[in-house]
Amino acid sequence: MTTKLAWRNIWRNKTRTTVFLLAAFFGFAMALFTLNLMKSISQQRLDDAKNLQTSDLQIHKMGFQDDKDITLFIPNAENVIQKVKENANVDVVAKRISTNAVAASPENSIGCEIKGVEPTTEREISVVQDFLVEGSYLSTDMRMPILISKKTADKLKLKLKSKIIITLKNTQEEIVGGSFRVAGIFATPSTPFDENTVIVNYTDLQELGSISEPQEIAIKIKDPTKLIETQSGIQETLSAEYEVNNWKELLPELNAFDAFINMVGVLFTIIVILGLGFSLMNIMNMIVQERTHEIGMLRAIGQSKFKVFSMLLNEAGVLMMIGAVSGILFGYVLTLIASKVGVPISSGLDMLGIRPVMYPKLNPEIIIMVIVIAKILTVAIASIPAYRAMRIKPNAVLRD
Amino acid sequence: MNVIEIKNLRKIYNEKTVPVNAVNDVSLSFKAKEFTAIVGASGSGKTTLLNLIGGIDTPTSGNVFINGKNVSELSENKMTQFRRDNIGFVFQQYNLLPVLTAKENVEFIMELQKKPKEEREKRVTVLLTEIGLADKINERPAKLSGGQQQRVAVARALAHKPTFVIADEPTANLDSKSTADLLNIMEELNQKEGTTFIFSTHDQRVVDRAKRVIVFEDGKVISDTSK
Repeated sequence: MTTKLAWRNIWRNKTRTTVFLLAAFFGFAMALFTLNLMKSISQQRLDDAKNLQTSDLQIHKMGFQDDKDITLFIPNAENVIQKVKENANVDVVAKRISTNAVAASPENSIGCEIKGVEPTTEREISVVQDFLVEGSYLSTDMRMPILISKKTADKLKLKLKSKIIITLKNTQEEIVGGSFRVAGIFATPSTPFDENTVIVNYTDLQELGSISEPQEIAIKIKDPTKLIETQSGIQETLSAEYEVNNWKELLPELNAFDAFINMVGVLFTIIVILGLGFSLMNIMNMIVQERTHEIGMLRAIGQSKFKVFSMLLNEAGVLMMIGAVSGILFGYVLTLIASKVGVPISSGLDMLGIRPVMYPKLNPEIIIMVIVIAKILTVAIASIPAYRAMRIKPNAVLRD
Repeated sequence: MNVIEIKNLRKIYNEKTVPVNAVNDVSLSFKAKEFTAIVGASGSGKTTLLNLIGGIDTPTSGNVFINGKNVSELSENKMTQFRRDNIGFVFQQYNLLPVLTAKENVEFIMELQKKPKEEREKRVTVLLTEIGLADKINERPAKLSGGQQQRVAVARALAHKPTFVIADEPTANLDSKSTADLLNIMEELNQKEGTTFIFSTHDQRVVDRAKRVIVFEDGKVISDTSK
């Protein structure tokens, strides 16, 4: 009877209820869609950075993360790789060399980070090859091949098979240079990666820099939910000389951005629902005002204060629930459509690693968050008029 | 045996500013099955007296005993529960819940009492048949005439088999025929159900049908006659 009564009561004023429900419907739909879009942008930045740069876990010599010195290589790297491969959750292990360099063409020069990778394993751990726009991935039939980004190619005015001179400081602290040939040009969604990275064969860079061992071992894991567990498992098998970091530690700025996006999402939801909440409070106040006599009658015939309170909360709850459920469903449909057709994002944002077209995904935790916030705010806001109703004296129903 | 006993009941409004003695040292008793009219001019204090008897207002002094229990000492929550289980109310403005059907209005208090569905349905059918509205069981109040609404209100007041029913000017908004019909029903239920009826009224037709008439003036009983 309580829910039936609440349902019928809210339709006593059809216009008022319809206006509120429309506001709630669009409010919830937009909140859900926007939150999904924001979360997807954040997730895409993290995924891109992880897939292009860090992979799930990395091993370095202790201290390498602080100054990235070329001499801080991983001692006994092959032993370390063997030990890492013994972990059941490890999928792929790749060794890398990475150092700062200057890339020059007859037209221009730029500072960059040069990465030496083993093409076979690197292809399994990184997604750079998926973003090749010209050429091929570190082809074996070319001497000293190099992959550069479209941005670098434009800056240095290079084409496929063009020569590019890489200058760097080797492990003997000498400046050395090598001539590479452009084997492929990539264009990833990450502007910082594209502007800063060139990729060469591991052995070529090893030779150029006189480097005996890798500075980085990248690890892709099978079950990403066991990231921390795998990280500590690997760290336990290695001595304190080695440092194992997960991608969240390696990309603190992106992690902070994700936390910021989550916070903005919560605030945005609170603001939208708070707006609806005040509208709801206004409606509930009107309801109490209009039904003072009726509530007095209910108190007179024996309805307890608590029942009056819960009756009003129920009405507010039913109102908000209809708006929330229909709005969330509509937001879900909007997100589904957008996940197929894409949402164009302002072109200037590619500097932040945001793709020009986003395909938002539906995040179940966002739906749960929206529902929880809506529920808490509804109870908090509707409690005020419900409390007023509860205090109506039963003799309000009788003539003075 | 007395169902209701009022001893030295007093209700003073605006005690600290301009005191008004709405009920002034009234002592009365009502027996089971009584059909009593409280008569008096507007402002004589009859509604205040009904509020005090019905436990929806508290006396300044004095006590109300119902079936020997001093209800003036009950807490607000206990009094609410006591009203729900022992007292039926009929109001001048009918005060049916507009969103509920006749049947749902009648069974509302039984729902508050958490009576089983079967028992509720049986009782509602009996009462709506008694008041001649068996065919209006699923109608909402807006579809019923004033007289029909007041009959449903009487059925609601009796649904939970209260010890007594308080009716505040129950015929004030009814035409002659509806008044006569309602009085017939109330009399019949008074006899059949054995429920005590106390009602305030200005209406001579009601006074004529009452078995006991208490005349109220300036918060005091000035006559109390049984027929």
